[in-house]
Amino acid sequence: MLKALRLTAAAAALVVSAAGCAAAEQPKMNDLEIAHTAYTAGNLDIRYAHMALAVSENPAVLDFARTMIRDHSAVNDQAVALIGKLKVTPQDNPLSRALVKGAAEKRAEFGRLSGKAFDCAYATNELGYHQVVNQTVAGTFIPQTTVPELKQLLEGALATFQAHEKHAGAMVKGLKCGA
Amino acid sequence: MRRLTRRVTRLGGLLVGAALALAPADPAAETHRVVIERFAFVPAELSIRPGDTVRFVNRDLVPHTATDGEGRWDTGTLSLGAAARVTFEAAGTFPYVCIFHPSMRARIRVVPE
Repeated sequence: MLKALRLTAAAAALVVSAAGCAAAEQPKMNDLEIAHTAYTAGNLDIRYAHMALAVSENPAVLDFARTMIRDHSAVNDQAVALIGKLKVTPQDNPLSRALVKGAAEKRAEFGRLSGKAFDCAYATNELGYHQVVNQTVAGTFIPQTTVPELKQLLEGALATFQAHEKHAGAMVKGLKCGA
Repeated sequence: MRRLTRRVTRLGGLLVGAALALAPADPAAETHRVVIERFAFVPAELSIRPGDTVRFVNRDLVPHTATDGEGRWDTGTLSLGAAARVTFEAAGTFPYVCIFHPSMRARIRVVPE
């Protein structure tokens, strides 16, 4: 459990520090950067979920992972449709790159785990990841977005991610990782 | 936004039909609407009469279902903008969930006049 908490803290710190760094260097992300980062965050969670499907044998973890793939794919499909409609190209940015780097490190950590250790690490990371993503989307992305359609998409995505956060919390509790 | 009506399911003997046109004409029967938005069924509690139909419409970005807790009926997967109809013939209480998101719970009460 302690290890899992450290993993979560590290994940949260990564995103927070990345956000802080981006905030220091780029006080305000533009719409194309926000779109890129939101899409990237979704894709990274899909990759975590695929790893969970490959490693875990816990029904609750497997159900959660399938939901992450289904939901984040649906949100990202809407994002792609909007990008196509607006005829724009999302912009890579320091926060997106920090997320990608951090997720690669996290997957490497997960790759050394199995059984309950993996389940707890994955579940705890999902809880922390969604907590930080939700704070960022609600506190930074939505207020800074200027295109109404993107703002509406982010608001819908936030409702989705908030449900995921609750689901992840229930999963962590059900796994009894401290026992 | 694309809107689809997937199918009609008749309950009360649990007869499953395929099209609204097949349902017997009942001038007193009503169609009610349950909207799925922000990961909730709205309204969460709905009272209807036997023979009434409920139309479930998903307005969320992600797929949902409306699935009877005892497996008696299921809308199937409803993507953004999709809808499905279920007709309830028999009186009773029908708790249902979204099978993808277990925290989403609601209930339909079929009450005879």
